[in-house]
Amino acid sequence: MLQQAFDNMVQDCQQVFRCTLAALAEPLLPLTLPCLPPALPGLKPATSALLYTLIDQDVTLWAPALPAATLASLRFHCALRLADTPEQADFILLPAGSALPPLSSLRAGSPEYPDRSATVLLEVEDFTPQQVEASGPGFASPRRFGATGLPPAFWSQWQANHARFPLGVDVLLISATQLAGLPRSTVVQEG
Amino acid sequence: MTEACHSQWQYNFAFLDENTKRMLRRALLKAVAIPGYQVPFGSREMPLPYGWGTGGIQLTASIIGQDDVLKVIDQGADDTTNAVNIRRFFARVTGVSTTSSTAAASLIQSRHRIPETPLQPGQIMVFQVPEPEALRTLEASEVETRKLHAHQEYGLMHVKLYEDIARFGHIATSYDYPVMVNDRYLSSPSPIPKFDNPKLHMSPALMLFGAGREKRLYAIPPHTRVESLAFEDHPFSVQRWEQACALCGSHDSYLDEIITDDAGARMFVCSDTDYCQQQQEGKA
Amino acid sequence: MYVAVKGGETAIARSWDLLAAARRGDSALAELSLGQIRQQLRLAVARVMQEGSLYDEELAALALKQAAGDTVEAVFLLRAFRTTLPRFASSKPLDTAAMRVRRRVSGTFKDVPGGQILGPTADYTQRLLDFSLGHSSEVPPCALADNGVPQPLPSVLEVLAAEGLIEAEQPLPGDPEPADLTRQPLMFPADRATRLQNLARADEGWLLGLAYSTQRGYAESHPFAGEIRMGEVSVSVCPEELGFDIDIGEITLTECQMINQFAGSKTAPPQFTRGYGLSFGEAERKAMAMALVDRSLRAEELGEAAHAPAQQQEFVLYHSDNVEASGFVQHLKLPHYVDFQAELSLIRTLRAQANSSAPQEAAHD
Repeated sequence: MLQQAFDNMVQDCQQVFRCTLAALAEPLLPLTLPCLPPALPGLKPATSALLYTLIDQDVTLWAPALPAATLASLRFHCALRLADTPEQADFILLPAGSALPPLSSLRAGSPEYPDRSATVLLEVEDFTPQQVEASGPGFASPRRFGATGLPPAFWSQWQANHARFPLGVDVLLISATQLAGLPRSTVVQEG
Repeated sequence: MTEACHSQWQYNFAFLDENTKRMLRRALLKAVAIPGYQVPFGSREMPLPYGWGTGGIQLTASIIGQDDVLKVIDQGADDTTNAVNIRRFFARVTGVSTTSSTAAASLIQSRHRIPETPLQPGQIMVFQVPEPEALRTLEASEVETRKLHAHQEYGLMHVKLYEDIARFGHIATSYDYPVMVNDRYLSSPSPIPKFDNPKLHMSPALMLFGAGREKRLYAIPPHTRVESLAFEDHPFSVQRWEQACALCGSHDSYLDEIITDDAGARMFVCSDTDYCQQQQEGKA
Repeated sequence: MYVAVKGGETAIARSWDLLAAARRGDSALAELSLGQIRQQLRLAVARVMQEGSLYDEELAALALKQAAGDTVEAVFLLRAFRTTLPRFASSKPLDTAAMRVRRRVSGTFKDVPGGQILGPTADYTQRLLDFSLGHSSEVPPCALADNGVPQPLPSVLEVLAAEGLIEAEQPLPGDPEPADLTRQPLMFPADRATRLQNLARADEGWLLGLAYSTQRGYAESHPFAGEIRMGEVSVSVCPEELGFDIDIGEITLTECQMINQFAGSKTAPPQFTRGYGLSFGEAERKAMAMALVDRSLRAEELGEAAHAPAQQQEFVLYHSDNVEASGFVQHLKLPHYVDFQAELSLIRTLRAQANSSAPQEAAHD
């Protein structure tokens, strides 16, 4: 029933973290994760890697219904604590195809402590089409980006999220094996 | 606990336990998302004293991996005692390779300097920060400085700098010179000489700042605007020396002044020992 | 001619050798055992455990030995080790009312239920150097009373509480989990549980000075030592998989409950208020100082004017930790060549300007 996590938790988590750090430092530049654990049921392998890397008993996660095997594995490997509602959670996990809670309803931090905000793990299909042009910290020059499988109206919600800067949420866009960071500092123009 | 069990004690890779690393890593991700903003974190006691680089050490410990090549400098030099001690610590608890070459390093932990050799994409600088709050000398209370940052209310700092100008004819801050990051947060670049401030602006490298005793960390992502505060009629400028480095002849590097005899004779040499070495080898 | 500073690694290795030799001293003399330190320097061991936030007499003794008796350095060693320990469980709240008391005194009543129990204390000795300790001596056997100390020993403050003369001790609404300062940064305003945690780890000297200042007019606290008790308390945990409490051991604690005057406010009638101190081991000075500072930090909560240093949270709590303070004060030993060079050239520029006839025209550097 329990899924195996990384072969080497210490080294693999470090590798995945460095990839995540790089992804947020240079937003919307898809990076291939250097190591992947066996996928948890209902989730992409890259998502499983991020959960093992970021989640422990000190944070809460909200997700729509997850397979029992996935929950059991996350409880075992990460001491997972589930939040009752997305509004309370430190991490929001959105498997491919799930509805996006309004970004404006999630924890956005306070003016004194904008870091006390949610991080959204959002699964997408792929990073091929070019939907938006993005700029901001981490962009040497504006970069074009797109993802298939994004929830409808994601980009317009994103613009509202960025407009609250320094408050706001940060998003990690996840395909099967890749990751693109979308920190609240990123300015996005559609089209 | 028995003595036998203690003598067998094995530290985790990079000393910190995995929970602590995760806490630091989550804080770092928020720091990168809010450039220049000071993220509080649950700083741990490290085996080096507070004020001696514990913030930088915790950051390095939370990001370092087996493939990293680590460089540690203090005052620009790889061979200063504290740099040696920190490098030995990481060699002992991680086994990673270390280097004195700026170009060869993937991870550079520094106290008080940014190397002269331009940083490359993918490199990470970790700064040791004694006082992360740029406003602290102007406002002692953390509650109050948090409010000032929240409202982007930086008049205090402008007044301070302007008073310098009124009194001395120019801004009398020579190191730890305040910067605006991404046009939003007033930040301390750590006590680097203002000579190094321009290297922060639009750098291709990721800059991470750790203050262990003050329990805060912050970041400047690559390609981020970093502006040293100034006034239109008093633009920012950096230190210059009449002398060249006595060892390598460089005119472009930050120089240390060294007293060479009891009569007060002195010479000027590069503070960045690796850079100086490269320049000397280049000329040979 | 100047030779670039090299050889740091060798110099450091040599300094380690010298340190080890200095620690050992004359090898003709017997080496201290950890057992000797535990048994014969028990108060130093207690202080290192307290400020090191780790109850382990053996490790505290080791730290003291390694630090050659430097308490603050020993605290630092213990804290750095503590960082690496995984956390298996949190203990249940300690019940100091059930303490197996070895000493209990009150300064508020001549006699109290259970009596004044002096216990092992230097309070009633004359502080004359005892030259007989300068050489080995037999300690006369210590006779223990037949009836012993009544257990559990009722708390002195209960008497006042029963009459409603002292504020009730109530958890905060909802009894929230306390913050854990060993894992979370100190935030302001800090609630009382957080403040007490900070004070419990605080440097004894810092607390002592602050507490003293509250008695000398820098905060009007009018304290009385309601009760000081020292003895052993059981520690228990309730593992989730078992679902019931199990005793994991016993620790020595000193607890101090200060009673302070309170003139009353719009919502509360005049009554006595409390200041609380708790420390590992036999540590009365620390527990009493902590209780005084705890009370002075309650000024704002009780609607009192807060003008003294000991009443200011950020001032007291940010500067209480001797590991932080010791590190930062001593970091000035580290090289500051680069910043000093920057200041040097600045001072030269300023002096040149001051000496010139037209200072305002001098170019900025």
